[in-house]
Amino acid sequence: MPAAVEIRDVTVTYPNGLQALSNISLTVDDGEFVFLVGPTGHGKSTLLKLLYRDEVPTQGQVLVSGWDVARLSPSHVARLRRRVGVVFQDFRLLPRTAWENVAFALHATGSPYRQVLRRVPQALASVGLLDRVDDYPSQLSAGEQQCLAIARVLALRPPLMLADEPTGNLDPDSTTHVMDLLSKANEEGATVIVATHDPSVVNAMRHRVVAMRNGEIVSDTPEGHYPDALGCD
Amino acid sequence: MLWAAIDFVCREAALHLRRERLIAIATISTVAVLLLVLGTVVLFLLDVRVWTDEMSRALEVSAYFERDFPREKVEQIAEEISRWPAVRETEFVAKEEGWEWLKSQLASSTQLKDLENPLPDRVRVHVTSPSNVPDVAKQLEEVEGVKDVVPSAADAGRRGSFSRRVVQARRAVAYAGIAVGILVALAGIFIVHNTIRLALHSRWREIYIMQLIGATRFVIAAPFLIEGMIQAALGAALACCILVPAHMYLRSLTARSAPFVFLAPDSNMLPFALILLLAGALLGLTGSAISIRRYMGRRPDWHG
Repeated sequence: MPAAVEIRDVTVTYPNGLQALSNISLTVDDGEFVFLVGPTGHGKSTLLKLLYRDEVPTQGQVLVSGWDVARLSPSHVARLRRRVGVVFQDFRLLPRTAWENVAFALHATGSPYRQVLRRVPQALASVGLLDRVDDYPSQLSAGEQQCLAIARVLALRPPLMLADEPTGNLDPDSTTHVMDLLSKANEEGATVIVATHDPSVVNAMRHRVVAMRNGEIVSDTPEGHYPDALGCD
Repeated sequence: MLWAAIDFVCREAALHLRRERLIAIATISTVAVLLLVLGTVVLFLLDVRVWTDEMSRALEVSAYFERDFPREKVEQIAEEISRWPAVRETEFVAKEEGWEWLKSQLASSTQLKDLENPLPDRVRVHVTSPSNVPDVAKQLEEVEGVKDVVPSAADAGRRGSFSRRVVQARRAVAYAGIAVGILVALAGIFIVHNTIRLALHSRWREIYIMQLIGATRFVIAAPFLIEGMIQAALGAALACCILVPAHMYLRSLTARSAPFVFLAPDSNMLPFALILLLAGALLGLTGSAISIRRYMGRRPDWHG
């Protein structure tokens, strides 16, 4: 069985000449929970973008569930993205109700109507928003908006979940709640990769920590802490 | 899966048509104005064509036979001429009949009463197209027993002859129609594309989210294509609602006060309206397709 994620000697250079990733290799097994840590602008987001094919490597190979993401046709990119759920720091919700935000994702990926009726309340209940189904994102707190974004991903039940600074805009209570939700998804079988520069989030849990600096992986520690040498921003 | 996708596409299209009324009104009215212009041009060209057709129907070549040429042979020849490919129909006019008609047409017909009939038998030849007049006239001049042909082959082929003018007018109308049609269609695609691009700009978040969660290109593009098509077809329907009654009224007006002006009959209005609706829907579809293509590969700034 292929690893959930396999990155082999990958370099990413942007058109302006900036090298975002420099010859990195990383393997993440199925069911793992991995923190990707490092200061802002040192390659964490670029690495995640490679996994949902928002970027392609300049050199090297990126495999997700055995699929070489750089060589996928447009229809296969859509299939890959159904297997990869992404949570962003800025939530990226639509100006629709909580129910519609979750239902939209299910409908857009071809879920039958009955399945949508079943999964939307399940997903909203799992993040504690079942009583806010008719509320718009603007009526929700930042923490609730992030929970809604997670509910949207959970409803799709992807085997791989990526979170790019998911607690960056949240207060400590909401941060704890969001991290609990990601841990729960991981316990239920999803592989989870969280990019963060917040030591408190990393140190509160005992998971694998991959540290990045200047586009390179500088340490990879199972059940580790946030490396002090990295700094926070 | 496919049914779910179609269901989603239709729901999204309906939702946006309902929610974004201002943008929908902008698109519909833009297309309506554009198709009003296109429809006016098409109706004008149609009317000119009908007029030139009427003119060509009136075009005829008359073959006058020798006075002593046997009538049975003239009738037989008229029958043969009617089978020529360039001839629509022939009409034998006996000299007595021609004389009676002439007397009835002249105001001082009483003065002609005592005159001997000077007219020969003749055959009126109606051609299938004005461009055939010179050839038919030439062929008639070579027919046994024919003394005179009006217009003669030389006259019909002369620059500035009526038949040549009709041919030139028809050709000019056809070329002008094609040129105006292409220009207006291009302008239409450009305008619809820009209008729909505005609509898309307000919805790039949905497009981006759909791409992110793995919606297929069909599912992403189809609601926009349907929307564009429906809005443009509504605009076309609006243009039809103005143009068709206006043309019917104009026709009834000219039938009463200017019977020499031929306008396209009312029976042409249904096909015209259907073609305009189809043109509107195609404009909407093409404009939307161009716009959505430009948005599909973009990664917009979420906060921008």
